[in-house]
Amino acid sequence: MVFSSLLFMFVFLPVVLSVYYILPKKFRNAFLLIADLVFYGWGEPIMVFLMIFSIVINYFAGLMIAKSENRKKKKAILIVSVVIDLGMLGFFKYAGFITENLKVILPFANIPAVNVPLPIGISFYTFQIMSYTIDVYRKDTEAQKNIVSFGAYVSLFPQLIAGPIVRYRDVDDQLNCRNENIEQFARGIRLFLLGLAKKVLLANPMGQLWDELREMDGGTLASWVGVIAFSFQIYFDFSGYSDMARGLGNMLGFEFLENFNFPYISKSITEFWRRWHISLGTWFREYVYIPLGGNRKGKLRTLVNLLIVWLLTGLWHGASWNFVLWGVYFGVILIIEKLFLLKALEKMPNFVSRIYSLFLIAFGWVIFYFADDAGGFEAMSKFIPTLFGGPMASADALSVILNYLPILVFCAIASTPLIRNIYMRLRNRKGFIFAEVTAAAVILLLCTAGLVSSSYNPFLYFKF
Amino acid sequence: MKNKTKSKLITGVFLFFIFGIGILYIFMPKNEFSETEKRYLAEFPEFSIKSLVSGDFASEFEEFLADQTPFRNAFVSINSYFQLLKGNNGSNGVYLGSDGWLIEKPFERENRFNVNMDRILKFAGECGIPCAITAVPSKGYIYADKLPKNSLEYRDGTYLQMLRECSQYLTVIDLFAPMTAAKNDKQLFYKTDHHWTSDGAYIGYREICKALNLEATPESGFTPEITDGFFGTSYSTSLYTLTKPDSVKIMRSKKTGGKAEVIINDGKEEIYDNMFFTDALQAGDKYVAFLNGNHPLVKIKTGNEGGNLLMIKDSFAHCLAPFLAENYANIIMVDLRYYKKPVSALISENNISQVLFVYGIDNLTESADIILR
Repeated sequence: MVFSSLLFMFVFLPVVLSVYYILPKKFRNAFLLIADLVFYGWGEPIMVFLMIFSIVINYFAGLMIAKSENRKKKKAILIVSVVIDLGMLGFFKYAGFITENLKVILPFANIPAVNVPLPIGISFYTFQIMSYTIDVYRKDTEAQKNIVSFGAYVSLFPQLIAGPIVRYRDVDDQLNCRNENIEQFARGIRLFLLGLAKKVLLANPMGQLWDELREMDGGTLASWVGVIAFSFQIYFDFSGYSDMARGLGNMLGFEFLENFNFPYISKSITEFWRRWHISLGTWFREYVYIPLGGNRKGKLRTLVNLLIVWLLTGLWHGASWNFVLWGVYFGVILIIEKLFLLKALEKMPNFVSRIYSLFLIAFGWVIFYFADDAGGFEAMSKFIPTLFGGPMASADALSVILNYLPILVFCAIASTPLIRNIYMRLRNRKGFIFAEVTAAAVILLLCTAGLVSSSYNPFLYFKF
Repeated sequence: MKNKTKSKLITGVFLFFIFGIGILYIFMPKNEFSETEKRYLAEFPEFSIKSLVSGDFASEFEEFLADQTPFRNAFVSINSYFQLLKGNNGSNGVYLGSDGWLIEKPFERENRFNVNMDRILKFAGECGIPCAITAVPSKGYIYADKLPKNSLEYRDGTYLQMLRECSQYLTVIDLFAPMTAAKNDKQLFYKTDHHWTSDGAYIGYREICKALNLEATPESGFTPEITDGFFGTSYSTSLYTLTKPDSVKIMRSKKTGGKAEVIINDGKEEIYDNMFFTDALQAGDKYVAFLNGNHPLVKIKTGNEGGNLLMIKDSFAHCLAPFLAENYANIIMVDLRYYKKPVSALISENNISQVLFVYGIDNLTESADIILR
């Protein structure tokens, strides 16, 4: 189930909110768990068992780690649970990829192709679960004794499918006791609508523009505008999702940490990764980079650690070589920045370092886009030359770009803190609430209209 | 206002909206058929453990929600106008032009024109009967002055020229010049439908007669009958709901009154006594009034004198045929999208004296069904 759907907005959410608030507090976690599983299993009910399996394994692992006195035993349990978690992620996400690549090597030439459906959100909740067992092992948090509360944490529907990756220790207290109140609820609505608007009103049209321009072979300008459109699409899509998740969390009494902080205003790639998908960066730093020794074991080891982290970050995004390349691409840039470039960038005028960052980010999205199912390296190597040569723009491409120009400009503005700053300044003014309520109503209306329109399919054959 | 009151206000609006639509889903009467989309809508899916486990129930339920949204067409219309406001005219495939003109976007640049023409020329060379072709230009090409400022280029000119170059193999009837000359005096296309009007089709008739050495009945030989309130395909694709409706004009021959023996064959034959199906004028798609819309094979015994015409065509021919009935004893209309038997058999069976291809140019360039045996 996705948030920006009629099913979620007009069936699932009203039902969940009403039952949740009718129930006394002590039953709310149990109900949340049920709602989570319905949400998770909606498209493929079989996967619910996978989720329950994960919950049970890690629940007992956590308890046993906490109870055990023996250090070695603790470690052994942790390793077993992590191996199971990563094993499931590996099997469902990477088995097909691994077998396909092994085929190239002679002794494996005849292994059958593995084709398993990818359970939604598995990359996100696997990381969440691991944060729990590892933190219990490190004594950074206590074990959760109530399996229902633990299950509700693992499968919590707001962040289940696209994050943010919520560390257990950040919501530990909230799981046991939440003080839902109207102000938090209203804050949740604001965030949810902000995210919904980002997704439906900005990301979706930008996706259409990118598709149209990519398919029409319209020249250098068209290719660049296409890449910019894709950059906007992926940002507003992903951050919109995070906003909706945080908003829904608020509606249910949770507070999740911010996941995006205007990444496109960054003045270096280092800064970009502190602003983009913050919860993923935090996770890798906390559970991979620092345990590997971080930057405490000499310069060379630091660089190796960075490369490992970025290789994994790339691979985490998908089972396809372009994601590996994408991860290494950023790993290498970050290393270069760490070695000397960052200092040089600081001395440059802002616009130079911003253009530098935006160029590398946008080019990164080109690598990111061309996964195997989008044509892979073959399509990528056809597309990249159009960015650096050939005709400028065809008449058709110009016409398409002109159609989307207002929304492109709006996306650029919305990528900066400008609108938020204006909102912050005005929100306590008298009467501003009416503007806000109007905006909320308009967003609801336009987003619903957008969702309904995408299902409006005139039967075209009758046309002729 | 206190923070708490503000919070209540915004919460109220949000909950009112999502609960409101949720409740309307339950209580609004469901529609079986969408008149604007010309298709049956999804109904509430049947529940079974099997369909639940397989995920079929889930996907069918979502189709149900999509198809039965309360005020569905109103929402689609809001979206269409919102796209306009954003400067994205044509996002739904139809431009909102000036003077209430709704104009389909141009056909694709990469298309099947050459394949289709090769097949037609091959057929013309082999069938042993004189063949002629006419392609109706796009609405957006003739009425280019009604298009919004930023629109994609209509490439009709290129293809019409390629068509003219075929005139050594078959008679090519060029409608571009005569339609352009008449476009300001008369409305040659419907503003809300992609078809040509009877006035447009009359120009086609006149030009066809000229090319085939027939004597065209003058316009005064027909009695016009006008029906208002027509919203056509361009309207239903785009749902620019503020657009004014068209009126449909039927031109009845003063000689026959449109009477003829019309045999419609959809697998089984049904016989009618008139080329105009006036019942359709009371319904939504009024263009169906011309020879009852799309059918694989339609035979018209006109009661007039003349040869036997085989028309291989799309729906542009429907309002042209009643004019041609003035000059032919029999007209056989074949729609290759639905008629899959050999066309050559029709020629011998019906003693055909003339073959005429009639297509809208977009269909001629894009159709994958022009298979001639």
